[in-house]
Amino acid sequence: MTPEDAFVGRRVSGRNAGERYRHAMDIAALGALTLNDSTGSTRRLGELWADRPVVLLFLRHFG
Amino acid sequence: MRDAYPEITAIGGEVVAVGTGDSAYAARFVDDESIPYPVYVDDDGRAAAAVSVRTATPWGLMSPKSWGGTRAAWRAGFRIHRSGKRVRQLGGTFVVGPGPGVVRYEHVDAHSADHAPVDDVLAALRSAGSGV
Repeated sequence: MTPEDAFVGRRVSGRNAGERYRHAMDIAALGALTLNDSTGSTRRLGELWADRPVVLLFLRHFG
Repeated sequence: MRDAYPEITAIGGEVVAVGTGDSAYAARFVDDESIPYPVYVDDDGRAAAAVSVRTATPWGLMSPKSWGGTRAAWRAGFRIHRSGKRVRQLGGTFVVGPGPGVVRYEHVDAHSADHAPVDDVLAALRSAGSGV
């Protein structure tokens, strides 16, 4: 697999299902990040989707 | 997405929100809006950079497309209590996992009123259960 292939996926749903496209996200970089949550606890993001699918919502603002 | 949370968890998924600001700001959001899922703080923008969310232009935030979304959100009872550190950062919705390196769905918001269709998000979650 070339580095370019690592970012190429295939849409699994919606009008363009099956279409190949380049991922917007660098999931390896994202999964390696450690962030604080609303309680102040720290977690490595990749642990959150280790054993279940996760919907990641990037919010423009809280509220 | 909050309204779809029971269905998401019934499928076996979880929701994780990432926003700008600090932990106290996120805690107020969780309390005020009764958010049932974990909320993380991306105060330095590294997570936003990793998922390539867009940045709106000042005139883009004031476009008619944004007005419609703002009105709809207001009527639905949502309130913006305080803007985050990066007020021009737009949002996005992604379905990832289970396991490292698995990206099932991506929606990078094109403007402030653009959001991922919930049905598409649920379909991506169901694909995890079907082994696709």
